[in-house]
Amino acid sequence: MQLVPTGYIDQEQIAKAVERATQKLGPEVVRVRYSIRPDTSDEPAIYFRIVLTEQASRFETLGDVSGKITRFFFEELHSIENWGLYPYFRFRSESEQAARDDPAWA
Amino acid sequence: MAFHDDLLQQAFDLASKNPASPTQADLRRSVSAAYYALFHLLISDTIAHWSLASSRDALGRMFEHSVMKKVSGKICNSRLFPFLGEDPIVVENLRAVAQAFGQLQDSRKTADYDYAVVWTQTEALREVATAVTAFSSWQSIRNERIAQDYLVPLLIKPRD
Repeated sequence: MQLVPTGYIDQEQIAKAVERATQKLGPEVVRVRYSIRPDTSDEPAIYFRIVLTEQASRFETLGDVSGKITRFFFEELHSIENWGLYPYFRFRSESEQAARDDPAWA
Repeated sequence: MAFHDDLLQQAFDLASKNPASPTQADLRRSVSAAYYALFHLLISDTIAHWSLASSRDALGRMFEHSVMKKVSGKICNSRLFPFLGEDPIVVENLRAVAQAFGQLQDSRKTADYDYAVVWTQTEALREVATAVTAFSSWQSIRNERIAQDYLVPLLIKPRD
């Protein structure tokens, strides 16, 4: 079990919960990665990095798609209530990630 | 258009500029503008309740980013704020606004200060979309009691 400075958090439990939730997402989601660290206000947080298909990344659909995914994670994980972690979300398209080859998103 | 509407439009314009090769400056300023659009929307709705119109501008200067974020984070905690007996649609919209505020403020700080983070156009557009949705959610609940109750501690630091 790894620890973060803000408290004792069972990272294995979180990994399992995120994995279970991710499996319920639709085909518009290519992959989900996350990290646990303090946010910009030094509060404990969980940052999700979500790669979307090109179709889902278009601005016309991006708001709906990202909003549904955000709500889903809020309701499925209750990360604030269960772990004291405020969730943040960032979304990239598949082609953007391919061009950058950023390991944190791979 | 109101200042917050102009900021939202500016955020979209910057994020969608140069789709083939967006600059980090445009994308980062877009994220910042998206946050400030929601920030000023909430402030303008709060100070509109101050009956003496000539004092509203001064009142608008009293808001603190950190206090607003703390309050918004608490609203998202269903144990602290279960909103029992309230209309679930209103609660969902209020939490969407509060969540958007926290997300946008955190992204704004990253966009403005963190050199290590490279923004893509989708990432910036998503922040704009978050602000657009928050505007729409706020519009649908702004006259509801729990929405008005949310505005009060944004200005007045609550006791811990």
